[in-house]
Amino acid sequence: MDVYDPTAVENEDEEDTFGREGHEQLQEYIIFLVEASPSMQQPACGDLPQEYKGKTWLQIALMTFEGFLRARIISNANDQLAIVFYGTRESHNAHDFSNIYTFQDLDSPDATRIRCVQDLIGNPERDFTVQIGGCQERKPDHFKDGLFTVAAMLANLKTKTAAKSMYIMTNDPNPASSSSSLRQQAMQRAHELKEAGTLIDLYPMTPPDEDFDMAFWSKVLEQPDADPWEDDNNVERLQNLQSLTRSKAFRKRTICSLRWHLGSELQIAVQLYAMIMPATTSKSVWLEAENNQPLVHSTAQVCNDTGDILTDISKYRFPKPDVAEKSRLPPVLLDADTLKQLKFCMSPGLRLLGFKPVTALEAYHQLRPPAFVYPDERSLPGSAVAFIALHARLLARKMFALCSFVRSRVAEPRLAALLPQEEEIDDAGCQLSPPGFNLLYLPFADDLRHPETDPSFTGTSYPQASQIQISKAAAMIHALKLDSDVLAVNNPRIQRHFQVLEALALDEPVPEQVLDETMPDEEGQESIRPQVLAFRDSVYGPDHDEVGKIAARTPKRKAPEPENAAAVASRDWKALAQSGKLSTLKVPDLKEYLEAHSLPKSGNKTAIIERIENHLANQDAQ
Amino acid sequence: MARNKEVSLLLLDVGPSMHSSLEYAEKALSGYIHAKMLNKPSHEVALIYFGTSDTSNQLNTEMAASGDDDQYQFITYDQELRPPDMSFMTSLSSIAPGDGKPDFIDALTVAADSLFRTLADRPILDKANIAKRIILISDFATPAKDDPGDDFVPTLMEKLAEKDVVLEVNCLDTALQESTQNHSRDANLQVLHRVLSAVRHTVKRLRSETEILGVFKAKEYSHTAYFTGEFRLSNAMHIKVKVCKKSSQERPLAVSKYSDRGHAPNSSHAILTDTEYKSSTDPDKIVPAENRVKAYKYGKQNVPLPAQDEGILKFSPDKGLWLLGFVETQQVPRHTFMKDVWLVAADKTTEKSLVAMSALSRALQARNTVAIVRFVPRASGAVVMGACTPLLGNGRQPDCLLLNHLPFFEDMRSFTFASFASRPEAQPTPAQLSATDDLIDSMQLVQGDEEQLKPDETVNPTLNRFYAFMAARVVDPNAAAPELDPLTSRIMLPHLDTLPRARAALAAAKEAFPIKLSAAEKAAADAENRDQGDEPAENGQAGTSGQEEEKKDEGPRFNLDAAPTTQAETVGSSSPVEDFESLVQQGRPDIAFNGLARIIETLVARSLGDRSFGKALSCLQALRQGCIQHSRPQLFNDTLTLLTSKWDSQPNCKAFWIKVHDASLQQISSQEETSSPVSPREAEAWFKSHAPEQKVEEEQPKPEPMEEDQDEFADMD
Repeated sequence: MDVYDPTAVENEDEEDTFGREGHEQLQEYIIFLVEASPSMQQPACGDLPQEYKGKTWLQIALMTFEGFLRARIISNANDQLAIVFYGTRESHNAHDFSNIYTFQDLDSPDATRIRCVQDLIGNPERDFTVQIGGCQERKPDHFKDGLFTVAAMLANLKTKTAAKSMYIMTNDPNPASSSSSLRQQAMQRAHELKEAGTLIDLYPMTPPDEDFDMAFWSKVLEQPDADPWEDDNNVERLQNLQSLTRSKAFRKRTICSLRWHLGSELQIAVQLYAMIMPATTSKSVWLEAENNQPLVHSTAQVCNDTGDILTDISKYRFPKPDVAEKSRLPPVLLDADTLKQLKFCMSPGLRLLGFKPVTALEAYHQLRPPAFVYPDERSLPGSAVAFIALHARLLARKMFALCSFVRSRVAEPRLAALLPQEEEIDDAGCQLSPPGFNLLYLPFADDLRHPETDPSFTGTSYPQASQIQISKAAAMIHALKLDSDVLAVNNPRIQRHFQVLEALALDEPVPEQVLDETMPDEEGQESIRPQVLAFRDSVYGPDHDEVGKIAARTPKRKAPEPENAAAVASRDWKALAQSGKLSTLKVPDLKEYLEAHSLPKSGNKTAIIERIENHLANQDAQ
Repeated sequence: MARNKEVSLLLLDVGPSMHSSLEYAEKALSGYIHAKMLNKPSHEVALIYFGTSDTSNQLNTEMAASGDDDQYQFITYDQELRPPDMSFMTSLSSIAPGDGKPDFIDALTVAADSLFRTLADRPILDKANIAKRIILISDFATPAKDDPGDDFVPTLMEKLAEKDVVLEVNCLDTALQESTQNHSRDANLQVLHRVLSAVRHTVKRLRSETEILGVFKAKEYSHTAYFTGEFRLSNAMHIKVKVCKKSSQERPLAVSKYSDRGHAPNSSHAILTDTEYKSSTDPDKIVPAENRVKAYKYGKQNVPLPAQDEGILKFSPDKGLWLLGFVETQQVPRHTFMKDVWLVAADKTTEKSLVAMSALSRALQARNTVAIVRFVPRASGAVVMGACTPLLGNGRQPDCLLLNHLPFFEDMRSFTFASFASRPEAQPTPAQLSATDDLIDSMQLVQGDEEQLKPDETVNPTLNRFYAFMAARVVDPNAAAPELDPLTSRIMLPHLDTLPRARAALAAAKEAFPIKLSAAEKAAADAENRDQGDEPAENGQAGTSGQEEEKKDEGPRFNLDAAPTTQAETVGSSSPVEDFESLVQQGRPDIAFNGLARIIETLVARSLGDRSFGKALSCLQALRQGCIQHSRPQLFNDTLTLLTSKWDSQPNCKAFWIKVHDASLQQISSQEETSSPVSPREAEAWFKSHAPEQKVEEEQPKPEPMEEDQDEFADMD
């Protein structure tokens, strides 16, 4: 029975969550079913990425699982994961099967689970061999019982709407070769899982260049009533275990299903997906200090004049009182319906307005992450043909479709460019970019500013570089070409946030800092020094006096003013620090110390005090 | 150097050929004045009408004094230059259509002359950093008196250029009634170009009267540097730069909640939000601030982190802008740009930085490359991986770089989709491809130098409407909320009038691609088309004359209450019962039932008088029926209980209950639906005990849930 919550606010204004997924509520359950036989404990071989070198196949499987745990903590912390080994020496599972070991049952990820997996990876002899161990002989039962264990775990779930996936990791092309009846049973289990809506995927733990007989597995994986318009995974299966964490860490979910209106008569059904979604740090909650239990909060609206608690607010005032005061405008009173009518005035959909060449799209016609648009043949048969025809012709003619875009009933109408994207497949048959349209959110004139034409920002003289100067710059550009993989670096801010939380959650010391992959490559830049110098000299002149001064030659910070130095010297900083009284000083006073010692002055008071203490400690050490 | 002054003189043609457009001009100018008062209350504005029946301006008076009284006629200097106030709005709300001869050269002269007088009187305004603008709106239909021998006008223009005054010309370029007028417009524009050649100016063509509404942006920004520092190309070289926002989504100013409980003259009418934290084990125990500790989620764990330690979570980079290297343009495809855009400009005071920036951006352009940068605008703040592309100035503005956010690894998702080639049944035939090409040809929005719907020139109609309505309410507190306004239709629906071949091509495409809508969808689409007044019969003869335009713009082009053309996603208030039925059919009963129950409450609570009660009642009836059919008696019974429980707090609920009672909508009893715990007798008794006159104490309504979003629109539905 659904509980009817009369006070729930419908948070339908998803305008801001464009890019965040609209239907994120859906929970996902993921189970790794990993073979633990001795052959999986062999060192991996073949052309493998650096991080897998010297690891066993089992370790690689566990590393993938660990990557999943971490990625889920950042993206969907409510999802639940489990890992089950089959073909183990020891047995540990809810059904007392032999040779099945449920290492982690379904639960949401946390630091302890990550640590357990890490231990297993880091010290297989001690932890894996002793605790779990591999069964010396492969038996067809193992896989079948493993499937049963997974099926039982998923069958016990209370929720019916959740998405369920199982990833099988093995190097055995045919786990039931010896017995056709057992093969039938395994197939039957797999079939039941699929019937219950579980997606099954296989990752063969074999060298990438080695053939893997899929005869048995393709039957296991085959989806009974697969929709031809859903992706088929056959191509990718053997490759790119490394990118698995990324590609599967997020289940493909639609932002919304819409109709693309071409004139008044023709409609194409499409679905929108978020392929780029800015990651955020985790949210904070309030706990009760005594017992660290989460607090329940409730909010009331209180009338400032009478102190009444208001349950229904029907009037709004424009502008806000502080703005009204400055603007000399009388306030305008409105009711909720009027406000809504003002903002949301069109029914959802994409409406074709016309076509423009791709060159009409400037780099500054940009506001938010795009959405990816793919035809929705199932909801409106015939859509795909029309979609593909438009895609093909626009791609060939280097044009995009300009549309008005209303995402939902409570979204503001916007203009959007539907930019065709060609399918790209790498040599190994992996899809690098899918075919479809990228829906780019276009700004309106109100959203664009023109600092470049504002004399108070850019001045009035616009000297242009000479051909020689341009060619020197071009030589520098040529010398400092980067690979595309610089474009896929971790966000140090997000990494730091979760790194610290993980350490704190495990009661471990907080690590110093994260590896910042965004910093320039010093070595690489040093090697092109001649080109940079040539460019510099062509612009700033060989004596580079004016603004060509290189940073190293100018003292970075001003020498302390004499009176400042005196003020700094007048305090016994060491004593203050030792007695913990630094915090009694005011920030400007603290900054004088930093200034006097040429330390950075950024950060809040805590950071400043910490910096002073560190500096004093270092001085002592010297 | 934050600018807090700006001077603009508005020149509006109110002459005979402009009469039909004045309604739009009034709205646009009121919106402009309103925006100034809201956002830039110290900016100064003057309002000048030309083509008026009367004459009132200083030049005319002076000339008359010297005996020449037919100079500078039909120009009314309506509002003197000053920070705008309500009298501007009042004046605009009653612009008198004039029958004088609108001479834009004279009007410009009067405006420029008055500006110079003001600058002489108030030298404080005569500074380079105070922007001065003259904004002219006219259709240029009446020939201006052009006297090339006169050296007064050129002198004036030189002086305008010297004071760095910008002239913004908005030319209403719709077809005029008489061909002679079209001719004189061309002549006028030539005169205008000659006169303005010395002055910084922009000319914007308005292709329909509705586009007058979009002449002004909702808010103007002064450009302040977000980051000032060095762009480090490597240890060996840097360029001094400033970084400023180039694009940023403009949102309507917030409204605040209003309480009408206070009746004292000095009532604030403010509503405060009071949040209480209660122990999860003991709901009556309120936990004060000192007993609370903040925690961050790590998976399912809450990791407590006292406020003074929060700093360790932070990644604390130094601020700066670093070059990482260069990649080919196609390596950073357009769809990887993630957020709004910054402009990187060389520091205007150091010429060599300007030259270095120019060389770099031109080399990027020439080599078709993009600079990849690391940007930390604030110490200890966010780190941005950026792609810098050139924005060349060609001598009129400096060569700059545009900086777009690139995604980090954590931000990217790679999903695979079936290859189009793998679906032989979905391959278009040559005929279909050629229909597609025809469609593309017929709906070209860029022709030569002309580009329709250019983002840089297209205002946000929703913002425009929002502010226009607020401005209208300021003058007339009873102004009705606008119907869907013509500007929204103009921008958001295809311009079939300017794309003459589009109708035929769209019809051909419809024939080429047999896509079957379901009967319900078809009906909904037809309803919307009817509302748009879009008759497929009038193929090819898309009207371009001003009058036909006007006719089309009169009514809303599509109806707010029209059934949605897509399947219902939620139960909305416009057609709740249909939404409900659609959702049930789609197999989404939870959304359907809960949504319908909720919408009843909303309809009742927000009803003006009993206006929405009929709709709410029909929802309630539908809900009852649905709950019986789908075995959800509890939901319906709960809804009734809830309505009665709100008698005290909401007078509307009580009033609505009379209707419910009249309709005999009782609780669902076990007789009707076996799973109901209520016996028929109990249902009867409950119904009687809740007769409208009686007041029954029920459970108190729960307090409002936490509102995290400050945006007042967030809880609108």
